[in-house]
This record gives sequence, C-alpha cells and structure tokens, in this order.
Amino acid sequence: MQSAANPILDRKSLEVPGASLRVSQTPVVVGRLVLGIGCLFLCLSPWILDANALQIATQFLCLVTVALMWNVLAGYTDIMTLGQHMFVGVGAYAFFGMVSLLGIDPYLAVFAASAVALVFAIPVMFVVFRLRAAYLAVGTWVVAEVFLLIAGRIPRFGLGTGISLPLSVARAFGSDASTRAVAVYLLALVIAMTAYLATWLLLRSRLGIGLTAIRDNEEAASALGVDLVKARILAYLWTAPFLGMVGAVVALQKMRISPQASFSFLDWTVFVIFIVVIGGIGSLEGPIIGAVIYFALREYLGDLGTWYLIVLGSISIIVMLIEPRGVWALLRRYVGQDIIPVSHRSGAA
Amino acid sequence: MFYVLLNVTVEGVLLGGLYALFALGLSFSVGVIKLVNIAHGDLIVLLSFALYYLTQPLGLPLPVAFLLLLPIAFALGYVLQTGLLQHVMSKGLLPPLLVTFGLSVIVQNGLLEAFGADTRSIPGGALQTAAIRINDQLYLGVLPVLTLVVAISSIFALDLVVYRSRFGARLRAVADSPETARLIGLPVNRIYALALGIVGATICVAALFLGLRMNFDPLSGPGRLIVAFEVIVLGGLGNLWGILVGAIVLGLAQSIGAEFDIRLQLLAGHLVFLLVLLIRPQGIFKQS
Amino acid sequence: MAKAGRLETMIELSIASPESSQRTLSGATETSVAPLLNVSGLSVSYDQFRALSDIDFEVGAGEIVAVIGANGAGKSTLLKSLIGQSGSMAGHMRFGGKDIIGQSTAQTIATGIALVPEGRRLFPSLTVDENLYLGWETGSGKGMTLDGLYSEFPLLAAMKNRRAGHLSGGQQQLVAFGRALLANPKLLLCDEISLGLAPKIVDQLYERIPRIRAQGVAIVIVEQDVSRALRISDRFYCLLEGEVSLSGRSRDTSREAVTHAYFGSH
Repeated sequence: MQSAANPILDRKSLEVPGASLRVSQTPVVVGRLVLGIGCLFLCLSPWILDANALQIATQFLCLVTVALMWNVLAGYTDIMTLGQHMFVGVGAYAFFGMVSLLGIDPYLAVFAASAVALVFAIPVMFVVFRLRAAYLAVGTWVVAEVFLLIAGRIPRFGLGTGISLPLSVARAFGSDASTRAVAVYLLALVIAMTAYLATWLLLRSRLGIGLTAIRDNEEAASALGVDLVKARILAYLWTAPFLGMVGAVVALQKMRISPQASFSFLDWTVFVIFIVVIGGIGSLEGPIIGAVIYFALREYLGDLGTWYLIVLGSISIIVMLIEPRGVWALLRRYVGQDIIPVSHRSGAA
Repeated sequence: MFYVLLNVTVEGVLLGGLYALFALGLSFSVGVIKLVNIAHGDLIVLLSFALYYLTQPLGLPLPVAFLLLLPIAFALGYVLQTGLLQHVMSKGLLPPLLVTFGLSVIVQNGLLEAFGADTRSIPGGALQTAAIRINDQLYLGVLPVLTLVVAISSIFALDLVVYRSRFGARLRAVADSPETARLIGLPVNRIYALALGIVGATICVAALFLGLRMNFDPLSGPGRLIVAFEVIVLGGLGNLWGILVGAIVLGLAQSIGAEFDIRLQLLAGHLVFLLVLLIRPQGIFKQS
Repeated sequence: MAKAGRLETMIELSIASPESSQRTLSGATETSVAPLLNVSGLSVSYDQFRALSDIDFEVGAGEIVAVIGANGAGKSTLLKSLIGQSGSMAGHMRFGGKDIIGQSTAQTIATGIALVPEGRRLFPSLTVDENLYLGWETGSGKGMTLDGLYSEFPLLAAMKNRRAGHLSGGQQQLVAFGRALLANPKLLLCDEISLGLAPKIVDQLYERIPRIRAQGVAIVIVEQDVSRALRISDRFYCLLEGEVSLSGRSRDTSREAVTHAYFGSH
C-alpha cells in the first residue's frame, strides 16, 4: 500500500484527548476544608452576624436549597422546570393556613408545609408529565400560573393583595426581632442541611446512581435497565417537600403571604436557574458555587435590578456556550474529583 | 340572551385570530428547528416596542414603520440562529432552553431599562374604533376582524411555503432528520437560519396587532409565550391549521370566562388548556 | 496501482507491441493515470474514540471496490469521512487530483462523490419526487435529470408522489440509489444496501451495480455479506478495528485469508 509522505503526527502515539494525569489530592482537600469551614461558619452565624446579615444568610440558605432542588430535576433527569416557584408558594400559603386558620404550632407548620406541597405535587406531576422537554418546561409554568391565579381568589388568604401573618406567629419565634431572626435562620439552616444531606444520600443510593447515570447518558442508562419514568417521578416528588418548607420560611421572613410575593417567578425560578446554570448543573457543588456568585454579584450590582438580571442572563448564556456544566466543571478540571463525593470509587471520573 | 352568547362567541373567535398570530412563529420554530423559544413572547413585545418607538417619538406612519421593521425582524431571527442558537442546539435538551430563557430575561430587563415599566400601546386611530354593524346588538370591530383575516392569510401563506415549494421541501427535510440532511449535503444551518428569519417576520406581524389591540409593557412577554404555547398544544404540535383551531378554542375559553368575571379570563383559558392536556395530550388534531 | 479495466487494455496493447510489454506491466503503477480517489494515512476520531487508524485506500475510475469487516470495524466511518461527515480527521484525501479533506459535504457532492447511506435514510414525510429532487439539487446539476431517472427506472416514476415513509425497504433503497445517482457522481458510495432486505430484492439491486459502472461511475460497496461483496467487486479492503487488515483483488484471495483478516488473529 502506498503510504502518506511525511505524516505530521506519529499516529500511534496520538494521545486520547481529555485523558487526565494523576492529580494531586491537595485541591480536593482544600475544597473540602473550605466547605467544612463554610458549614461551621453557617452554624455559628447566629453568634457572629447581626440581624440584617442573618436575614441575608437566611435568603442564601433558602436559595441554595431551591437551587439544589432545581438541579436534581435539571441536572440528573434532564427535566427543566419553570414552575417550581409554585411549590414555594404552596408551602407559604399552607403555612399561613395552618398557623392562622387552624392554629397549628408554627414550628410544626413549617415542616407540615412539606407534606402539603408533596400532596399537590402528585396531581400536578400527573398532568405535566404528559408533556416532554421544552413543552414540559412551559407546562409547569402554566400550572404555576394557575396556582398563582387561584391563590389570588381565596378570600381567607387575602385575595390578590395577600395578607399578613398574625403577630402570634411572630412571637412564637421570639419576643424581639433579633431572636426571631435567629430562629428563622436556624430553621432555614436545618432545612438546607437536611436537603443537602438527604439529596447526597439519595444520589449515593442505588436509585441515585441511576439518576447520575441518566445525567451522564440517558440512552445508556436506559439500556442498562434504569427506569427513566420512575426516576423522573422520584426526582419531581423529591423536590416538592423541600420547596414547600422553603416557602414556609419565606412567609415567616416576610411575615406575609401574597400571590406575587409567595409565588415569585423571579426569586424562585429565574434567579435559581441562573444560579444553577452558572454554578454548575448536575453536581452538588454547583448550586453552592452559583449562590455564592449570585450574592457576590449582588453586592456589587446590588439594587440595579435590571442590570443585575441582564448580567446574570448574559453570563448564563456564555456559560452554556463555553462550558455547559458551569463554573464547577471548570474548577473540577483542576480539582480532579468531587468535593462532595457522590461516586463510590475515588478517582477521576 | 342569544345575543350575549353570540357576542361572547364572536369575541372569542376574533381573539383567537390574535392568538393565532402569536402562536404562528412558535409553531414554525417548533416544527422545523425543534426549538421552543422561551423568549418568543418577549421578542414579540420587543418588536411592539420598536413599532411604538418608530411611530411615537419618531413619528413615522404606522405602515411605513411596519414595512421598515419587517426585514429587520427577519434579520433578527436569522442572526439569532446563526449567532447564538446554532451553537447550543447540538449540546442536548437543556442548553437551547436555558439560552432562550436567559435571552428572555435579558430582553425584558433591557426593555425596562430603555422604556420604563409603563404600559404602552400603538395608536391606530380610526382602525381601533371602527366597527361593522351587523344589527343593533352585534357589532364587529374592524381591527379584530382584520387580525383574524391576517392570521388566516399568514397561515395560508406559510402552508404554501412549507408544503408546496422547493424551499419547503428543504425545511421539511431538516425537520425530518437534520443528520440525513447533512449526509446528502443540505446546508442545514442556513436552512435553520432562514426558518428563524421567517419566524422573525411572523413575530413582527404579531407585534403589530398586539400593539394595536392590547396594552403591553416590558414584562408582557411571558404571557404571550404562554398563550402561544397553549395554542400550539391545543391545536396539535406541528400542525399549521391546527393553530387556528387551537387559538379559537383558547379565545373562546377566555371570552366565556371573562363573561362571568373579567378576572377569570386568563384562568379559564389555562383550565381549558389543562383539561385538553389531560384528556388529549396530542392536541385537538392528530399530529401531522 | 492499475485499475482492472485499464490493466486489461494495457495487456492487449503490450501484446500488440511486445517490446513495451515489460515496461507496461511494471511501469503501469507509476505512469498510469492517478486513481480517482486516493486516501492515505487517514485517521478519524470521535471525541476520545479512534474509529479509523492510518487507512490507505484507493479507488480507480470505473472500479468496483468492496469494503468488508465486522460491525464496528469502521466501514461506515470510512464512507462518511469521504463526504466529510465524520469526526476529526487527519491524513490525506485526494479526489480527481484535488485535496478534499476538510471540504464541506455539499462541495464534495458537487465535485462528484455521492453516498447511499446506511439504512436508506430518506425523508419520510417527503414524497419520492421531493426526496429525489433534493439529491439532484445538491449535485453538480449536470448529468441525469429527474425525468431521465424516471425513464430509466419506471418503478420510481410509478411511486413518485408517494410519501417515502410509506414505502417498503426495497422501494426505499431504490429511491436512495436514485437520489445518489441524480447528484451525478463519479464515485458512488453504497453503505450496506442489502441490510434488512429480502435476498431477491438484494439480487435485483446488485444487478444494477455493473450497469452503473458501465456508465463510468466508480463504486465503493460496504457489505456485510462477504461472498456477495467479493463476487461483485474488482478489489476489496477488509477493515478490522479501524485498520486495514487485508486488501487485494477480489478474485485472487482465499476464503481463509479473508476470514483471518475479518476476525483478526485470535
């Protein structure tokens, strides 16, 4: 056979692109250390931060929780939902209903809100799962709109303008503003940590490994026997309770519910999506990184609401163009491993 | 009583004409490029603002402004595809959705920055108030009738382009299978870009009638997207004439709801949509 | 490398003028016309997967060359890379004397290479006529027209307004053939045209191959059925795990050598 003259490359030694060399463990250790210190800081915040800062920290925790949930759906089952603000609103309204109309203990009501959200999630899921992909996304948005509109028509819940929580509820959390701020903060902390711990355990479980497989390659996962339908149902129902509890906390923070505020598309869908997209879809570290970036940007761009959103939107688009798996994916190339380990084998995945 | 019903029905059908225009571009991009553009409604609003700006501060007559904007809208769609969407379409299900989502937020907030939060409308003078008198109890607004006529003509024109032209054969080919199209040498990216250019033109038409018939503000986009979306799901995904049927069904639902209580208008539409979704997820027409 | 037709012609010439016989037979390689398609050192990768390694491959004008090999050996990849539809490529590819590596598919088709893809790959919602038209449109535009094709293949004319998705496998294969022929190729690439078809239909299809060659078109046939491939072709290449494990004249090889090359030495 005639062979090419002067091949530029020695093809036999062509390296397979993307193969990694053995990475040192230092970056992972540093990453875990940072994470650990962060958690410690969060636990000690009530003693470190003042009431205002605690409010922001509470927002941070709520945002991280909701971001984690959106990520479970989008990052692990390819379901993009534009309607999860609905469950936050349901949680808020359920909380109000329980403490104001049923006289249930507020602490209990926060956690009971999770059950209410779950109960609503089941029929909603049944309806929206008749659609796929993009249609599913807009479908969830439509359903959320329906809930928003209906919520605005219930007299006991304040109709379109909403209603304030009774003062007795506030007092149940503390006799003065700073005590209340601490109590609400700790609630948010418990919820966020529970959400993370539970999701981490889920992903490490047999079911969860199936989810991770779907994230990596849906067809292959299906061929290996992962039940895609069950996985999607599981993921969707998994998120509802946590979203409901966040809703209750948000209602508590604002001491008020209203259709626009409780079912806020901007706060619980728009910002959340940007956070996860920028931080990193399909990883546990992503939502945290994204939330940090979000708050950091807010410090600089702060009250320039529209520009803030334009910047976030632009960064998201750029992320999608350059590295769809976000900032975390960029960092991970240097770190070499998950900081929050989900796989059962250590080593570059 | 009869005339109440008749008026409600007529209003619903005429509203459907407007909704069909909203849905036309979305249906086309869904059918050909397989793209649900989350920014669809915002782009309609963007062009409505452009028309407003051309006619109000700049004082151009409306027909001139529209004819000026039409090719720009086509170019906008073309560039959107080649400059942005083309690069994410191959990356899976989520990236195109997330990119158009980001675009939606950017357009809304850009419009807020440029025009403020006030609602606007495009003054159409006599056109907006003129009515055709059928009898004492039934008047047909000229503008709504015109909207319906334009909607039907647009669907007819698109139908001709897609199903009876050589270009349409290329469109349907890439809709069937972009991979096969590439294998036989079709310029898939250019065909997508042209398709999105056509979408841009339809959005311009929708923007004209939106501005004339309704108030709009920078945040009106999502509402239009949801209407367009409900129309194409109701009418059967990928079915051009189904758009008209779906739009009329939605228009009727909203009209009837509004008759009970004006605040029920949107909710009625959504509930009918969800009902049809539950019963017949493939829409009212079988998928073509 | 000499092509079958030319070699026979040259042998006749050399018999007529004996003093040039030696020179003709040994000099045929260097002084004969360059092959229509000349591929050397071709390597193709998809992301991290190396599909083809260092392939040398040639087709002369009017030749029928078979490419055989097990599933996944790289046969389809080879064909697709010839029209510019595969992963990242390194190496050299010359068609009609011109470098074609890196060219767009449309350009390559216009210069005379057409593919009958694996699995037919028609557009199901388009009519036969529309499918064929698209093939003609991306070709050079010279050569056969749609009407010309219809008169040569009356079967196609009969189904021209039917939706391609409603046709049987054999009918679709015929349309896929027609579509490629309308692009006026000098080199026709056939990827597994017998797949999923009844043997009788496959026979009918293969009867057309020599007729197409007679019109001056070179043909590359990727085929699962080794006997059929070797029967119809002048030369063959056997691929194994992305490399050429054996090549030669189809009539001259032994069944043993082919089996060995097909499955590798285990």
